[in-house]
Amino acid sequence: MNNGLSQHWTRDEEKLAAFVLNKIDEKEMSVLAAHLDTCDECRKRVQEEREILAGIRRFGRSEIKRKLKLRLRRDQKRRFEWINAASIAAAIVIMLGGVFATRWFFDIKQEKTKTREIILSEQKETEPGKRSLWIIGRVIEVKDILEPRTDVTLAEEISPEVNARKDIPLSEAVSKGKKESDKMDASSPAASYEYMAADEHKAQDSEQEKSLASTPVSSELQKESRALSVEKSVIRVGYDSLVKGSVKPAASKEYPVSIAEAKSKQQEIVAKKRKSEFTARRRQPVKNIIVRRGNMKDLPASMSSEDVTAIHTRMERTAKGIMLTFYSNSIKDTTATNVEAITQDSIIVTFRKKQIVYYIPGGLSGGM
Amino acid sequence: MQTPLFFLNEDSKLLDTLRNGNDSALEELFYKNRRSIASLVIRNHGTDDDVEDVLQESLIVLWERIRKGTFEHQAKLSTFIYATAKNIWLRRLARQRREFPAAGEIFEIPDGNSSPFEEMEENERILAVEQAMEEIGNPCKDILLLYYWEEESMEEIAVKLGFANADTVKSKKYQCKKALEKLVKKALGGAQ
Repeated sequence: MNNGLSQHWTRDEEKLAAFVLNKIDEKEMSVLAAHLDTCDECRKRVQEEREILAGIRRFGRSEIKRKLKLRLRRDQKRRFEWINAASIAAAIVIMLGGVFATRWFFDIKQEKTKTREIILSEQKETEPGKRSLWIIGRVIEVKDILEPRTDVTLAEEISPEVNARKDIPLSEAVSKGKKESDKMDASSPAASYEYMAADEHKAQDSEQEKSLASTPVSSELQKESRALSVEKSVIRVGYDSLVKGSVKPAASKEYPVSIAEAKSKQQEIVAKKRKSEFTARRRQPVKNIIVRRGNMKDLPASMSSEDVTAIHTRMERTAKGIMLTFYSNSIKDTTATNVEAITQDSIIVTFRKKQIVYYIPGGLSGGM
Repeated sequence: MQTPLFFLNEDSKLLDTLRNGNDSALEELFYKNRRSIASLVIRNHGTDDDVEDVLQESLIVLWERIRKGTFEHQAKLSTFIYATAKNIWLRRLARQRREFPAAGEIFEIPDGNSSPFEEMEENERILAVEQAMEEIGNPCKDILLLYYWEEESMEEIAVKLGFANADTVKSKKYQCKKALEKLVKKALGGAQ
């Protein structure tokens, strides 16, 4: 064939490209292909053009693959960076949390170490056979003076020995104290507790005196009596501290003598108090005193004891105020009631109907 | 005509993005199809690298078809990608078997006009073109890619690359091709 199409058509660049790209219609394609069978030069040109096409396409594919890979890598990097940023942020938060927690911990510790600690262990170290008063405290709000409880007595609950001793009607004494207290409340709320407590001791003492006098004193009974005297001594300790500003154990070697002494002393104290400046000063609820229950584990090693009757009171001045912490091995009740200031340097903590007086060196507002 | 299914709508958006020359949709398709392709390739003795490679190849096939206008949107894009990836992976496995036949396996040379030596030479020349394309700068690279790979007309290239008209592109394309051939010859001559 000698038409225009068949004569070395591969020299036409456009036609050659269209041929390899398959952009020529079938009729023309068959004519061009027929020429290739007879023309080595054209066949070679077509082969070269096909190779160029294949090379360009391969390049195009690898180019887009590279772009895609790059984009994926960038995306992964971005994700990784985000995760990294999040982890760094989390680490910072944790670190800051740690720093603040440590600071808080040390502040608290420092605050504690700054405060002077008074461990009222004198009560524990009273004479042999005596029991300390059980005060189980916890954080309580300081409220107005509560109505004294009449359903329980301290002695009954704190000592099974005393509880077993039915011939001493302590509840009677309590109810009497309550009546007197009500009477006093009507006239002078400030003095009600003092009066009630004194009256109650009086009643207790006389009851015990009677029972001891009427029966021969056996060793068993003497023990029980001593146990009871502890309770009285505790109360007396409280009143002693009102005057002297310290906790003082009561004598109890000779029980009747102790009772007689206590009786006269209390009468004297009550009489004095009513006239004294102390009674003239109204007791006010103290708002910056917190009473709480402490953990025995927190006690210093020297103070720890297996004695379930032991109780330690720790007094410290914190930013929130004076904190009284009661430590005890056996917790039956978590009720403490009232905290009142009686002077500038002493407070009363009311536990059920009983009152414990604490002397605060440096006063309520001073530094300890 | 029936309303297209939701997935077709979703796919249509991706297709439109790719048609407009924005290949960022490939990234989205990559993440969407990664799991299914991974299960296919890894189940058939592939590695994580093979997964990425096969998936990228499949996406490029899709991209090429879309750009050339030969893609028919009849099924979900993921179905197309999965089928393509499967073909690519099976072809690769077959090639591996051919290159590294198992013990006792007889490898038959496929029928064809060219000998293995000729095939090797052809591959070498194709590689030389690919390398020459790396070297050739713009706008030649773009013109040649648009013309030979994306198979766009001179008019379309003129519009895309901002040439005055198709004739300008035509003459520029001629120059570029000659430059490419020169680079190829240089590369092949250097290798000889």
